[in-house]
Amino acid sequence: MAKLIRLSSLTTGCTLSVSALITVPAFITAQALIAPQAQALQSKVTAFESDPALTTHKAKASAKTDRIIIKYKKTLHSELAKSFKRGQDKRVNSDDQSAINPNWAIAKTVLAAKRLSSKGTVVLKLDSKQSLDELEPTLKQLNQDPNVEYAEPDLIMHIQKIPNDDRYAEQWHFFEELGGMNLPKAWDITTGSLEAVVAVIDTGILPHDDLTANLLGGYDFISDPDSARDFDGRDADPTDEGDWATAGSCGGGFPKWSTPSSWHGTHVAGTIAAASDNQLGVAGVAWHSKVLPIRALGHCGGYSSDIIEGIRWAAGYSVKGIPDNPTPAKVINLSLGGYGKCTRAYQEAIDEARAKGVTLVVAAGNDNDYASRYAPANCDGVITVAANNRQGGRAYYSNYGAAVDITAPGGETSKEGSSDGVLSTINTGSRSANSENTSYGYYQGTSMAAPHVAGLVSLMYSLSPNIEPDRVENLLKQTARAFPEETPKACTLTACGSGIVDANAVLTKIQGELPVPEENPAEQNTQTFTNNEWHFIPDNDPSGISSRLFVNRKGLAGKVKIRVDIAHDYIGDLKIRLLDPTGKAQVLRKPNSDDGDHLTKHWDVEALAIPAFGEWALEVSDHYRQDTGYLKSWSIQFE
Amino acid sequence: MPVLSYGFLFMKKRWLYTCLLIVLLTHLPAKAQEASQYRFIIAFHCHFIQDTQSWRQTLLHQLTTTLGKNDAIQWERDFGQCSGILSVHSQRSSQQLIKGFEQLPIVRYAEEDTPMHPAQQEVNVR
Repeated sequence: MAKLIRLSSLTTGCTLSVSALITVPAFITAQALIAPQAQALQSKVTAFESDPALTTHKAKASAKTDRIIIKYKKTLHSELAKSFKRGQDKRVNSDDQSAINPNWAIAKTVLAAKRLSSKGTVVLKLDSKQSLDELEPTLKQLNQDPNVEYAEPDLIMHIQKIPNDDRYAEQWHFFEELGGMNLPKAWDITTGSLEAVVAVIDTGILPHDDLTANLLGGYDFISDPDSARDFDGRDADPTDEGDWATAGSCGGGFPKWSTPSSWHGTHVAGTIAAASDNQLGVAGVAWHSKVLPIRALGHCGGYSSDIIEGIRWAAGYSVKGIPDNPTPAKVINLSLGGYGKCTRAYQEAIDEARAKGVTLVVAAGNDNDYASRYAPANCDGVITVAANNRQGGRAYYSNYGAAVDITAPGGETSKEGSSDGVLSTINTGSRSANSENTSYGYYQGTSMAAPHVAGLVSLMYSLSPNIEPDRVENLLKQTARAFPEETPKACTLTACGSGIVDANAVLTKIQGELPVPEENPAEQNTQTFTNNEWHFIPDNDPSGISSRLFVNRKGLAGKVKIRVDIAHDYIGDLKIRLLDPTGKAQVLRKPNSDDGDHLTKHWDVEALAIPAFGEWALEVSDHYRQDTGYLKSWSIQFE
Repeated sequence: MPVLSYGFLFMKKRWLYTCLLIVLLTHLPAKAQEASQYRFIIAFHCHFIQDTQSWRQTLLHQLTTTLGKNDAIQWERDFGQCSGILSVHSQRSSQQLIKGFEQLPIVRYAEEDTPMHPAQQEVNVR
């Protein structure tokens, strides 16, 4: 008791800037955690891993604390020391509470004065966790005490998620300050989701111990059997058969010299979604997202027509002679290109994919030339990615100019050493693939830069499943990191887009924009959410319209009732789909022979394991000519 | 006599050059007219499919009218909803062929099906 009184008697008013109240304690530095040596500090935050969707709320909850750190001024340190026995807390009973300092509002809630450090710091424990806003008046009062050097919230920190993959330290492109994309902090927000599928239209894929777990079935779109090297045209097997070529074998003196197989698609796919935190090889950008391999580049490249049909199929459109894609992509990566304007066929396919809410990411090209001279980098509606080197400057080969939207790590390798390239999954077979499924290699190129962005876009869709492609592009640009100025070949806004892509910045921004679910006990009762906006349903257009509805309700959706009101001649033309907040679609109605002119109907939908909170969408499309109409309203009723 | 012969040859040298030029001029166009193989994406108006029986054959016939007499055209496959991939063996340039195709009222556009390549950069050999 006496000691506590002595403690309290030492404390009475001083000033400190408010900004100091929210300063993160200096002993926790991000730098220390993202350095390669920090692998020893690897930590798993199991809640984040088991359910990425929980991450948002977890991160917000951590802004509360039940402790305050007070540092007393030096002259009082020896006095304070007497009141503590080394290593013991000072318990505070009800009589003692006001004795700490009767003028402190906090005195009523202090349970214990814990630990006195050698620097005169005391940690006060409160009876409950409080938000920073709630703590602010108390901290202000403490900081006005002349004996207090500072008082600040003892914030609960989470160690940044560092994957334990054994070659992660070589993946500078993920974490280094100058040329990296700032992923470790972003992984604390989300590590991807099954629904945020990334289609990789490339040379195909190979089995790899560090990748196969994140691969979907895919398809081989190469229509020319000679180019495909699998003795047939299109088939359901997207295995990369090798793109090795002898000098001049592709015509026009191309290639200049014989080249081994690149296994390009496997490298690109590994950057996006290599199996991560599995103590093997490398990590991917999106640990829990899936890659849909679409093979369209073979020996001597690939026809635009095959790539274009790959785009349409990836987005969920039907392609004649090929089974429908059971897992449509949210993101399409195109690490490819050729000299020439964006053709109408490309632009139409890109527009169609975007109409489905798909974001397309394209390599700017490696010709040290204007990206506007190369397709599909110069098409409208794609995110065109230039490459930066390890120092954050423009990679020597990267295309540039107004067509570039953003820059990402593409690396620079040389004969002297390759560790400044991008490390990912490959095969070491020079022509055919060998059976070693654990090989890794450093590559360089805008081909390597684009999948960094594609993987990040997948993380964005994991956080916000119905985010629109335009919004994706704007957010990436808004949050891009400024180019380092004192770097050789420093990039500029006119050459390399808005900056170097910053994963943490863009995910933090999205996270901050997500509405917090209302904590209302009545929420479990019946609730109906309605959208009364009229939408014209375009005639004979399978892409149709999408009407969105934001649901602010906690818990799982359970059984929901979907009501629609549509005025449309010959309602048999219509197909209706419901998209839940995870992006999963359910077909409510297929086109049929119903010749009515008004559709007012409800469907009972079981969405038992789907969270109610988030954006729902109703897609309505017309599949026959002539008759048209409007979606007048629709609603979701939760029981 | 030899003096006369040399004089005659000298006089005729201009004719020799002229003949050589004529041979070259007649030869070069022949080289340019060597037939090439092309592949096109041809998009046409969708109502054409709905309104026309055997529309592929009809379309091929119409496209053939724009070609030269030794040219050949073949339907490779359907492409999307209202377009196709066609291979053409022709002595004309791709621009000439596209211009001809696009003069047909049923054709929305024609584009060469250009090859694309991976955007991976070979190892830096600077």
